[in-house]
Order: sequence, then C-alpha cells, then structure tokens
Amino acid sequence: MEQKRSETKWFAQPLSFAAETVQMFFSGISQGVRGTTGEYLNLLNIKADNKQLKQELSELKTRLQAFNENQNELERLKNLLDFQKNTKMDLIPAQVIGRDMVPDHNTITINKGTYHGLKNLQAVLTVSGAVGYIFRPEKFTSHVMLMTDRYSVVDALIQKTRSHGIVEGQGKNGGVLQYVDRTEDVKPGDLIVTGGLDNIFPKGFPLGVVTDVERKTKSASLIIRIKPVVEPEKIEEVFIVKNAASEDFFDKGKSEESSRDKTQAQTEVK
Amino acid sequence: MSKKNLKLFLKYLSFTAIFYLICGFQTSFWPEIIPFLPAPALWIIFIVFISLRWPTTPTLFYIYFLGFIMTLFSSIPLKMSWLGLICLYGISWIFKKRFNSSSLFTFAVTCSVSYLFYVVCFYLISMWLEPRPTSALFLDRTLEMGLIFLVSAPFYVFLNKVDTYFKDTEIWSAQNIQSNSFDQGEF
Repeated sequence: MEQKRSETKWFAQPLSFAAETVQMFFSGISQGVRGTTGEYLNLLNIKADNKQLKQELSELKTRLQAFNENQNELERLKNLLDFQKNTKMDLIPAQVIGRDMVPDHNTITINKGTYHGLKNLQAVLTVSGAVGYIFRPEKFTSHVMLMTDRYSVVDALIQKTRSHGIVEGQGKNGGVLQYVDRTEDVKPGDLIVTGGLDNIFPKGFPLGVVTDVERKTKSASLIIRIKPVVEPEKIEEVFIVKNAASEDFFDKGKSEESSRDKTQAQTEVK
Repeated sequence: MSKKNLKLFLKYLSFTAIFYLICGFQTSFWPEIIPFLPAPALWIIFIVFISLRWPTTPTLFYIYFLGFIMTLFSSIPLKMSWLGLICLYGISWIFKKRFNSSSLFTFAVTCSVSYLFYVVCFYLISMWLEPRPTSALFLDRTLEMGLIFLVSAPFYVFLNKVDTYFKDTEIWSAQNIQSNSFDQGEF
C-alpha cells in the first residue's frame, strides 16, 4: 500500500505553523518548569544534606572538644599522680567545693575532713606550689585559709639568698614578705619558698614570686610584695600534707636549678 | 505546741533553710559557673527583707543567729559578722521608718544602698578592730551592688511568697506596737 504524502496542504500551513509555535512554546515552558522543579528538588536535597552535614559537624566538634577536655584532664591528673608518687610526703588529694562568702576573705572549702584524717593547721599544696593551710576542719569538709587571706601568716624564705621572712596575705593583691633585712639583695622575679619553721609547710616549696621591692628610709626591713605561684581562683584540686616526712624541697629545687645551669653552660660552650 | 507557735517555728525553720541555700549557692554554685563575676550578695537582700518585714526584737536575735551561720561559710570572725549585720539592720530600720513605698524598685534601691552602707561600715570597723584591715575592693563591690540591684526584685517576690504563706496576723500584730506598711506586708 502506498504511503500517503505527509506534506501539509497550502491552506493548512499557517494553521500548522501556529500549532508548531504553540507546541514549541509549551515545550519550552515545560522544560523550564522541569528544570526549575529539578533545581528546586535538588535545592531541597542540598538543603537537607547541608542540615545533616552541619549536624554531623557540630556533633564532631563537640566530641573533639570533649576529647580535648579529657586530654587536658588526663594531663592534669597525670601531673597530680606523678607529684604524689615522686614525694616522700603522705598526701591526701581533695577537690575544691566552695569559696568564701565575702570578698574580704580568701578561703576555700575542700571535700575532705576529720573523717579522712585531716587536722587543723595542715598544709595544703598543689603541684605548682603552696596554697594555704587548714584552719577549720569539719567532719567531711575543711576550710582552707589561702596564703592571700588577710589573716594568713606563712613562714617563708627567699630562694636566692636564703633569708627568712613572714608572708602576710593582702587579699587579691597577693601577699607581702615582711621582716627581711634591708641589706638583702632581692629583685622582682625572685622566687619565694616556704621556710619550714612554722611546722606547717615542708621547706622549700614554691610560694610566690617577687613583684615589687620597697626600701623605706626609716625602716630596718624591706617590704616585698609577692604574687602567689598558684592563682587562687583557678584552684580545683589540692593535696593536704598529712605527714611531711621531713621532705625538703629547697635542696631539690637548688639541685634542679644547678643542673639546668650546667646544661645551659655546656650548650653555650658547644 | 499550739498551731500558731508551730507556724512561727516552721517559718523560722524555712527561712533558715533558705539562708543556708543562699549561702551554698553563693559559695559553691556561682563561683563554679560564673567565676569571672563576684557572686551577688543574696544574704544582704535576705537580711534587708526580714528587717523590713518582721518585728524588731525577734528579728534582731534572728539576725545574730544568721550571723553565726555566715561564719560557717566564711572565715569572717563572729564579731565582725555581728557588727556588720547590726549596721545593716540599722540602715534597713531607718528605711522602714522613713519611707513608705510598695514598689519593687524601691526595694531594689533599698538593698543596694543598704549594701553600700554595710560595706562602708565594715571597712571602718575593720580599720578600727583588725590588725590587717580589709581593702576597698572597689570594682568587686560595685559589681556586687549592681548585681544586688538586679536580683533583689525577683528574690523579693520569692521571699514574699514564703513569708505570706507562714504569716499569722495575730502574732505579728501583737508583737508590733507601731503598725506601718512594711510590717503589714505591703512594701
């Protein structure tokens, strides 16, 4: 059978052209709609993916932060454990659970008391230095007077010159080392350590750093302002010295310093 | 024990418990959460409230008792605590006798001014009695005063609820010779 001719008749051509135009128009629209819908759907998917990824990222960041915190905590506890292991002293660890109620005093409350073997006037230390001493032990907690408290008095000596003095607390400003002879060679930056004469602290434990030295004309002693080595606001864990076992940190500190100087001198020579 | 006396006893017990909570919050909670700001002296607001609302004689003795409780949370000596609180009570008493106001704003101002007066008195007493007196601590005290002003209004609402719950008008009116708006619970 012969196929019919597909050519449009002359009278139908304008109509056919109109039909073509209409078809092309709608095809264009539908392509646009399809494209837009596709993009919109893609956008929705991207949005959902973005939300999910953001959530995952936030979770990962939190976990990373927790890991970092754990790492820091681990380091800190390792230091505490090492400190406890490497000393002859009988130490009891404790946590700080409270601060003083009024700003005129500087004391902390720890979570150990007479039940744990604590007594009045026992030294309280951290890994970095001396903090204070127990002044009011209760059954399960104790109040510790920080060396920065106005009522605190600690026997101390200047590590460099070995001259004795008394550190009196001055509140948040730190403390003042009193009754040091005015002829002593003391400079800002010198380390003040515990003297050991008060039978509270072991000898030679870091107490503070000299910030200012005042020589008054009509006074036989210097007024030495010191800043504590341990910042009172940042104390979290402490050790209470149950038995100092005649531990002397002064000679330990001196020998460490001299070995450091030796190593430095050797490096310079090389 | 009669019902009235039991109510009175429970009132003192409740307020003592609230005072303990305040002191614990100030010493153990706030320094851990917001260490860079000094804790608001809620105990000042507490003392001012009971000084304004309660009758004179039992309040004085109760304040002595609260002063003793304060020493359990601080190394402040008892004599300094009592002397400071007496000064605080004194300024609150002056406010009570001189001002008639029922607004929370006035209470907030009263608390802040009372705190300022307490700080000045404490400083002078410390210079007089202590071998190593306290320092001015200007920044800390200014911040505390601001925090007291902000916190006093909501704290007043809470204390007022507790006080009203235990209120027995017969007892209080018998103990109060002069009635004024503060004693009747209107501030």
